[in-house]
Amino acid sequence: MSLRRPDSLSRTAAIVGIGATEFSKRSGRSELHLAVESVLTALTDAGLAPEEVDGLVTYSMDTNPEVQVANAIGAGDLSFFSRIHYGGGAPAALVHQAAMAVTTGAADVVVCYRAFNERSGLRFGSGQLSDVQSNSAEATRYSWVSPYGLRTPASWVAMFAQRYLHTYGASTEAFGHVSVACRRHAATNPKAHFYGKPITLEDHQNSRWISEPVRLLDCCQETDGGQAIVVTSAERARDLAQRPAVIAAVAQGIGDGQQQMTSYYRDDITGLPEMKVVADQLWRSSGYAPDDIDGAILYDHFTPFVLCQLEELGFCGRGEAKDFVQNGALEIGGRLPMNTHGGQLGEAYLHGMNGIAEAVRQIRGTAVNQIKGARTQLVTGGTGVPTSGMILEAAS
Amino acid sequence: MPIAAALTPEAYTGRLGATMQAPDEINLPMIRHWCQAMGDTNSGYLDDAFATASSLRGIVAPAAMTQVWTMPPLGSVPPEQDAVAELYAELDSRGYRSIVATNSNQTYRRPQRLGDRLSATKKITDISAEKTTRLGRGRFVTTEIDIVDAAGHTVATQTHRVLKFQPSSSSAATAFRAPSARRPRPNVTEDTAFYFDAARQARLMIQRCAACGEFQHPPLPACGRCHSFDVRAAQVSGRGQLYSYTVVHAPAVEPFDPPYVVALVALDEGPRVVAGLVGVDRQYVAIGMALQATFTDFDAELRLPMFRPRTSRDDAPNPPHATVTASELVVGTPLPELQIPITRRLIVTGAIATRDFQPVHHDAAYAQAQGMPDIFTNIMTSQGLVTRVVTDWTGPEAEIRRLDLRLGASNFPGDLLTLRGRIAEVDGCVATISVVGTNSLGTHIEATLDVAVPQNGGAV
Repeated sequence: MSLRRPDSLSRTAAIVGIGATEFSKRSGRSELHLAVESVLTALTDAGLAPEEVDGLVTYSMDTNPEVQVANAIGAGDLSFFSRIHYGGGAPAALVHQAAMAVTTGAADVVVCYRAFNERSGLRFGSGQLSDVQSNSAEATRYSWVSPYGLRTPASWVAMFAQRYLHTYGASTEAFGHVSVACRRHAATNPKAHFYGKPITLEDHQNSRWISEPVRLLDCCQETDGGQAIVVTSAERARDLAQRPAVIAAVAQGIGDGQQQMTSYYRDDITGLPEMKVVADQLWRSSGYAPDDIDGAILYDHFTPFVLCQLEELGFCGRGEAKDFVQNGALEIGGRLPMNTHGGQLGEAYLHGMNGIAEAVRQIRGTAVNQIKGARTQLVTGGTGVPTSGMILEAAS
Repeated sequence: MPIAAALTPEAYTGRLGATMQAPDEINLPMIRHWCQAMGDTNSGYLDDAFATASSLRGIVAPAAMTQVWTMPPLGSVPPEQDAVAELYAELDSRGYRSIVATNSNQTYRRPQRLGDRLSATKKITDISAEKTTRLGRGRFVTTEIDIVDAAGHTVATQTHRVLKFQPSSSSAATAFRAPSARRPRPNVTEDTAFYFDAARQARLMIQRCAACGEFQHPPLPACGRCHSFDVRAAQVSGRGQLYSYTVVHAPAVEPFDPPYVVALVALDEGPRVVAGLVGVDRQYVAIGMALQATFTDFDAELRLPMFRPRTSRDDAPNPPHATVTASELVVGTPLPELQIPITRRLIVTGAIATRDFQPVHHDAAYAQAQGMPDIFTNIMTSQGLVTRVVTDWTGPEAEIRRLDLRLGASNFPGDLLTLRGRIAEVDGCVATISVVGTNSLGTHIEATLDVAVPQNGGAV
């Protein structure tokens, strides 16, 4: 897609397979093992043989090289491989790469994967991830924050969140509604870490501060696991094992003045301009409007940015998300059922990839918290960083 | 005179030491040397033209230097008939060979001025029974010191307490290990190094395009507005407002000590910067509050821009010459904290600038023989640093009238001393300020100071 004209990708590709490991706090096996396991599971789900895979896409942060994954699954030759930067911003961008590859003919079957031992290994929330000592432009981003003790994603987001509350006169209960919705959905998802453990708004308000105004229950989990997604052309998808989830639109976005998690220098820091870049492309290319969306998977590493996403995507006006999220609007049966698997707050933190799988299940009609008659799903990538998004729909 | 060796230590109570005549008048070179050692830039101590034109009516010596002028010269032999020296010799002979200062209470009757010639007389007022301390078993010796000018008028009085002790090999002090956790270093490139280089010189500099005048932060090799590569570092005022902030509670990763505030500051010139806050309790942090840049040393290598609440001084034409007024003395107000990396240079220059030639403050091998792990700062350096906490905030036309302090854990090389002051009481234009200094071993100093400030920007 382009910023100025519709692309030719709309409805040309589809997600035909999903596969994941269990989600745990200690996988007990290598990250590569998790990657290979999830890729093979996704191919089985799709009804495709590993030999048919000719493209692999993953995150630049992923430690599992395409060559080793290809060798382990027995893929043979590959004609397409690509990686996307900026961590959690990547999930829909992986699918974007895959869709472009299958639509242009660069590849026929592309598997997107992400696997890590993020809980039992290097934890992103440990506060030590930013102690990188390297004199590259990439590493300078930490210079402006780490020496002051702003070293975790939660603390980076908190700076935006405080300004958001101040600007719109919101209270942290608005964040709580997001958390309550995700945990309600996780409570009925056996695969979720917080299966059987819903929370109340009061639980949210009573949870301890991580970095004010962000509380423990505003933060996603840390998880070990792997998730893979199989993409092929919409045409071929019709002949495969599962009901296809057609990619109605998919896009990436970097906003003006963007930094990596610390875009503090823009005129206004209460929004996510990069998500607006994504949203504009999604609506234009798909032909849909927010009212056409039956359910959403909004990236929920930290609840404050879910509010900003609702506004940037056009589900409500600027500063109105605090009202939009009330009265169970984000829960099954609400105005916009969100993160029906429990999200990264409730199910697992797989850098957004498990959210794509849930959107596919909703389109197939196989989700544990199924939205009745769901035909469309919107999925977003991580916020604060350059991001991505897509709209999936049931095949007509 | 009785023979000293025949006396028990208690018998010295009430006896006088020899009067110490200051070898020099109070003079600017020694004040300047002291200021350099303490990192004190107070115009009232250093700037004759300013001081003369101000309510100070001429340069005033730092109150914390009171004891300095009458310290015995290097290499001097103790005077005869000096009960203090005799008592110390007696205690030495009984095994209490090491000495540390523990308490000092100084009251200043008037400012000390260039040309004053001071003399000091000590009287022994108390000798404790043997106590078991962190450093070993020892006896506390309390003296009262009368410091007079050439006319014989009292300028200051002091109660001074030292511990004469037998070093213990298992004492807490011998276990000192400098803290290893340091704040993360900035990762710099040719495009960004200027920001941190400027901070080391206590300047806040922001990149500015020489072609179009646009400020740009974080800095880049080219101007994002006009595409010029002629981007340069420009000094900014350091004035700003709090735009947003967070209070970090978790995780606790050394050397950070949650909960702490990190601020996003909108500079008056336009750009925003992230920095820490000092001199404000976190419950009073509020978006929109007026801030001023300051600089904090976190270790011997890292100095970073920080921000503190603005005072009336910051709006003065020349802030270093301005002083807060009585209306700004509010009970409970925290003063900006002072972080002092303890370096060998500070220990040695502090000792020499206070004319304290005790080898424990410059000779590590000697200090170890005395049961200490290394050299450590002397009490007069601690006096200088705690008064800086107060006068850095008040400005030069403030008069320190009292300084009471108690010393605890020593400052050894490699440690970091954090001094936090708070206004404890206010009586008109006089504030009582408590200052607590901590290092990795615990509390180094607890001090109470009385300071008078001008009523309304006028004379004290």
